[in-house]
Amino acid sequence: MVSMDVCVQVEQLRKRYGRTEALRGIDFEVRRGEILGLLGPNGAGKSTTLGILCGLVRPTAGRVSVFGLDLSRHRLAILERTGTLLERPSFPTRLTVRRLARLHARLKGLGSESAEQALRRAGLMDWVAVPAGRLSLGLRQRLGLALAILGEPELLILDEPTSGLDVESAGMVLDFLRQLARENGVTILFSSHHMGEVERLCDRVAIIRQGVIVSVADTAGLLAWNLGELEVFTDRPEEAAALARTLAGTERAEVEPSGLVRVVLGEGGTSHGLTRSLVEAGFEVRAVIPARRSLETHFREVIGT
Amino acid sequence: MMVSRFRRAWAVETARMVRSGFAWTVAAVPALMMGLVPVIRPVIRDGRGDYDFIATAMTATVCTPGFLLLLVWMAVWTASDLADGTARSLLIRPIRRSDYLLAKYAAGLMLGTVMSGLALVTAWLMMWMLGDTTGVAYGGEVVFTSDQLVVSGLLAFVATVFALWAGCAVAVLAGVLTRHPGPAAVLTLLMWLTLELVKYPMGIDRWVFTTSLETAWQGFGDLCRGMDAPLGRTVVRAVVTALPVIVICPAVAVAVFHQRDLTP
Repeated sequence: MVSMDVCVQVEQLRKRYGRTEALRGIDFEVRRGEILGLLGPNGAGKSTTLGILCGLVRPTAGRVSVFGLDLSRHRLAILERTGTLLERPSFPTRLTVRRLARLHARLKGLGSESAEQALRRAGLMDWVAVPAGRLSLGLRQRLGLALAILGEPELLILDEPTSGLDVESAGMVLDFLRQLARENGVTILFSSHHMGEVERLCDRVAIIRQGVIVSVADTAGLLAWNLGELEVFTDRPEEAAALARTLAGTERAEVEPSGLVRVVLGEGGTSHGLTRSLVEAGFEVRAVIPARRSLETHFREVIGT
Repeated sequence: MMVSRFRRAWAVETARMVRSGFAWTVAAVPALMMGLVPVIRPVIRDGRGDYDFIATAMTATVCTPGFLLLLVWMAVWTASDLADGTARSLLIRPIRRSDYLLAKYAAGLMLGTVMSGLALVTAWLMMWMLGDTTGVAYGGEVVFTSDQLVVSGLLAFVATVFALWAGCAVAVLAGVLTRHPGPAAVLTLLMWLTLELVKYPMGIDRWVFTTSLETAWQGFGDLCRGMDAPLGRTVVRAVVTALPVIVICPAVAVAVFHQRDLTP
């Protein structure tokens, strides 16, 4: 039984390409209104998963339900309410941006005004008369995004949405997606290689490795401040680290190449006690801040690299 | 809803076809080639009907070069969509794979019809402007009136169109099987060549749809020379030999396409 709060439910999904097992029974869910990032190294199974979700790839086994509907039986009804951006989208080269948007709107049973609205939202009004084949990679990606948001879908499936975009355009896309999720309640499932993007955008992150989901976690929880690990900025890092090692509440103290001293506190160790000891020993303590775990750290731990 | 989805897909594929330079080439080449036909069969005002000019012209333009161009275009268009990801970008919309593929085939049928129609109209116009449109007469007796020849010409046209449609069906299947434009074109041409090489030695020519391309205009040419030709039977044979191909090839293509994973 799929909960009303769940938009996408994937159960024991398997996919085999000949002898290669791309997905080995993955399970995850995307809750309504949330942004779930699917992270994983190349060949982990991200695109296969998204391909199955939009009906382009046939699963070998398992069950996918979207909006409470079984994908294998209600694909078209699901696609009516879903917008998809494929990795490296390809369009008929001779059709203009406007014509293409209108044709895609038509395929969804929408009028030309929906096409215009989507192009406007994606910032493509200056290129409406340009044939799709002449667009740069970044503009093509934006066109793909415009086509994905046609008809205000309830679910967006995005495979590498910022691929090929410069930093500024990628930032705009991320802001746009966040706005869609927050203001319109759109559920977003997207894959990316960029940890920063996932950190910035996603409510939760699922990590996939060799066809298996190895971790699903709240992004906020992953990135929580770690009060047991401190980053100390001081005038004499090597000596400060040596002193820290002698203190009772310190488990480990190391100087990083950037010059900061990373101190891992042990039992009884506090930020206040460490700072006081350093100041009393004559160090100029410029800052002591709790370390923050990055998604990259978590990813490396989970993937094992 | 099913019809509506097919209609949407058909509108999209037709719009794409209309913007394809290759499709325009396919439609125009046979009509343009008409300009060379008077070299083989002069058309002049000498008081004798020139309807057999149409028979020669259609055989020389539509029945081989036009047919092959259409086949290659259909195969390449289908396979290119699969190779470059266009099919994927269309199939993430709420249409079935069969809607998409049959819409593409329907666009091909339109192009085949337009191509042969354009060639026929051009040939007729050339005959009307440069030659005589009187009926076929022998010894002062009118054997076939001009009206009878128009009807017979249309029957030959129908037989041709059915053969073209069957050819398109084979090309769609080749496109789906190969998934790459070059191999799709080669496979289609090989299938045609094999059929042409074996159909007479094996005595199966009566059952091969491409034979209608020859017999339809041969029959029309016979009428133009005052001989009796069973064009009605030719049309029936064209329909009977083409229909199974028109039904089976797209059905197999759809079945194969349904099993395919559309990966980048």
